[in-house]
Amino acid sequence: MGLFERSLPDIHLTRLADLAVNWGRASSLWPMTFGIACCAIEMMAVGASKFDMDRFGAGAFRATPRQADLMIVAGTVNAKMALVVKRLYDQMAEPKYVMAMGACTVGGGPYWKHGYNVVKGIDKFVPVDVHVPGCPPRPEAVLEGVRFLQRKIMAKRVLTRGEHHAPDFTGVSIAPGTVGILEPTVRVTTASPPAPSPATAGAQA
Amino acid sequence: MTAAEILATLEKDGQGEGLALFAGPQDPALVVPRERLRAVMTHLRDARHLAFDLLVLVTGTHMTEKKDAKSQAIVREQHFEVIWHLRSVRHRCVLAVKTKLPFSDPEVDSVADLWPAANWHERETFDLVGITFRGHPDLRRILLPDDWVGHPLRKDYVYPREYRGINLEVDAPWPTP
Amino acid sequence: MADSVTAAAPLPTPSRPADPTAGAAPGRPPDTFVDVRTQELQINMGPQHPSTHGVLRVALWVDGEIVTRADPDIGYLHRCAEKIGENVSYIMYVPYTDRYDYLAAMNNNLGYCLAVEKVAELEVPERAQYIRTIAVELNRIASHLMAVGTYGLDVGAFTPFFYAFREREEILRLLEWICGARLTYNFIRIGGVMRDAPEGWVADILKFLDDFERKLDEFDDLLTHNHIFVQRTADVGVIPIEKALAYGLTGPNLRGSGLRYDLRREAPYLLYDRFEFDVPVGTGMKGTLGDCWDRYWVRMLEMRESARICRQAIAQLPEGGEIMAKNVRHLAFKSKPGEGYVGIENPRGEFGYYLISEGGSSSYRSRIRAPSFCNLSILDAILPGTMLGDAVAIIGSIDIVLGEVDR
Repeated sequence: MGLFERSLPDIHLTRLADLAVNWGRASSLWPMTFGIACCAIEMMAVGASKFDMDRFGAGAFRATPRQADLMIVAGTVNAKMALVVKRLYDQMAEPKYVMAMGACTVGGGPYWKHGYNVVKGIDKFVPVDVHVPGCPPRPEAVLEGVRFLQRKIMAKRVLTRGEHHAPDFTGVSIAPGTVGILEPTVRVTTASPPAPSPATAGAQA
Repeated sequence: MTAAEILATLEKDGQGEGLALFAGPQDPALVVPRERLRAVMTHLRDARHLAFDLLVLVTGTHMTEKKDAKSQAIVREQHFEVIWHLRSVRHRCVLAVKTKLPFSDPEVDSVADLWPAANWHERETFDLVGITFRGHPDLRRILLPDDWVGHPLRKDYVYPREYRGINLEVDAPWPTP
Repeated sequence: MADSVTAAAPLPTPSRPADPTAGAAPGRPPDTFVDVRTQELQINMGPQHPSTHGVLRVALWVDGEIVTRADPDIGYLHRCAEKIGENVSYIMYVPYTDRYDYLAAMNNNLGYCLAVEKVAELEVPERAQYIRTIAVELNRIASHLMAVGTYGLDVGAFTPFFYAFREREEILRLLEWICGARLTYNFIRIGGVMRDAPEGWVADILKFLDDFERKLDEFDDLLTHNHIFVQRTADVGVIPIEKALAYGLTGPNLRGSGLRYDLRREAPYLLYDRFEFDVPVGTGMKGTLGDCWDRYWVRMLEMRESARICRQAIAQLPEGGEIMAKNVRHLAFKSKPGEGYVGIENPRGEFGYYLISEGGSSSYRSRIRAPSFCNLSILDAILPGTMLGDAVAIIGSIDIVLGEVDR
């Protein structure tokens, strides 16, 4: 947006401009074909005809990072590959989003203990917008992740000033006790689980 | 053809010097001393009645020292072992060939010119276990990055904490309630 | 990962005729030949590439369109499978075996379990063996569908990919019905299978197989004899038999070169000696024997044979029976000391598992013979001399899965 980014005052009218821009961005997320391992097969299944991802606008897979805005990292990332992932992330143009698909990218997956060269979670070197757990996640879970990301994008402020709106996650399932879904870019590394937030406390009660 | 029969055939062919049979539980294997390896392998491939033309697998193992539980005597010295599995398409059998290498000098002849399939297998054995193959055309790491330090499949390998700035550590798991 | 452009010696100039007026025709000016200084270019194919079937990097040195040297660089998916095998107990290792060749996960489970059963001297009950056969052959069909679908995608045909995935989704639904997972099944366990066939599973498989042969004919119409596909794959990437054997090629790659070698026939495991099936080989129908089209054709025919084996297994499936060997305490399973190698016929070739056990609860050494690892090593022998577009067709026809190559 350049010149006009974060320049308009925060009133209802300009919020419409925000919504228009965000709607455009969210409804045509172009993923980069970045299948690394088994999750790549489920990513292909999401793109195929039974669980069509194209109906959410995210069907145009681009092979080059220059033309993509969503990097779905699907598969285990190890030390040799991490350098490549970082380079591809840097080559993408703003606005860019990252989906960590599969348990390996979320926290190392089954290789968390004895994988001597596996990076235990890609958020150690790229900022991640949505984590989709599963090994491999079902195509429906990937679609849920894309929907989740779309709602997060709709809540952003692009043209107006002020804090980001709270995303509307009604209808998106949040398992009780899960942390990190509401603030995906914050990585929790403390030894004890943090205090439950109101949303999860409500689900548990 | 079982390993015992192949050993008998090799002895009849005059190649049996120094060979032994590892009759161990389950799969038997032909034990070949390091110096006789190339001669035996060439014969196994070229002789028409043996015709082992498909190299299936090359394995390297780090065998640690084993002590007897009561007497603390050393039952097995620390050494390396390389095991080749060969298949004969014509005679429909598979043979395991083993050789022992001393721990201080893990070097053995390469068979990459006999079976080009061995090229990548030997590179992988060098990469993960640290066994060098004399006469290999291009012995360099294959699975790990070129500047990786250490050979992971050795039993005394310490997992690295980072590689070129990328954190490879495991986060401590949360305590279960 | 240095990808600098190597400045090689300038290539010799193309030979020109001694007479500079060669090519002159009445009314046409003579041809002029200009000295062009060329340089070999090194380009990277992968690791992020739509046609490398995973994270494979092939460093190519090209002279114009012709590849002069190829160096496959693997290891981008190395997941320490062999180290994990030494540290994790036998039953806990079964899910890891799913993830090598994730397209044929049942076959990997089977190879591992057969090796452990060989060393631990376990006997698997008959009904479990039949269910294993059905699962493994269904998975072979699914894997070949994926192979031919993505191969069409590589050479530019988008529609066969969706047709193949449509059938594959049906198979995945059947496999999910019996074990709960679509891709990484963890179904074939040490001593038997995880769960008995539910009501209606077998009937649904028969219904699928009845429809499947007709769908394969449809696929054939679309891709196999398509003029463009034939031109892109026939006479490309010819692998003669001796070279295939020397480089350790197995599976459809070896059979595409003409050698009728299938481990289900040569060294039958499971119950394959009770079934009647043919082993298809390449015949050079569209071009030279051992070209890409032959390997593709072998995969298409193998799907039909797998359907045949499935039908026979279902017909012979015993009514009741155990699905797990006796006295296998999985959570405290200790194997007997010994060494064993078992090689089975995976959709991509000979999958082998070499187990050295010292009687503990985890193996002392697990070595995996991955067919794609051995099949891939032939690339640096056959790629030089081909054109860049053909390189993509060749890599697709070898049908590699990087999870297996790197383990």
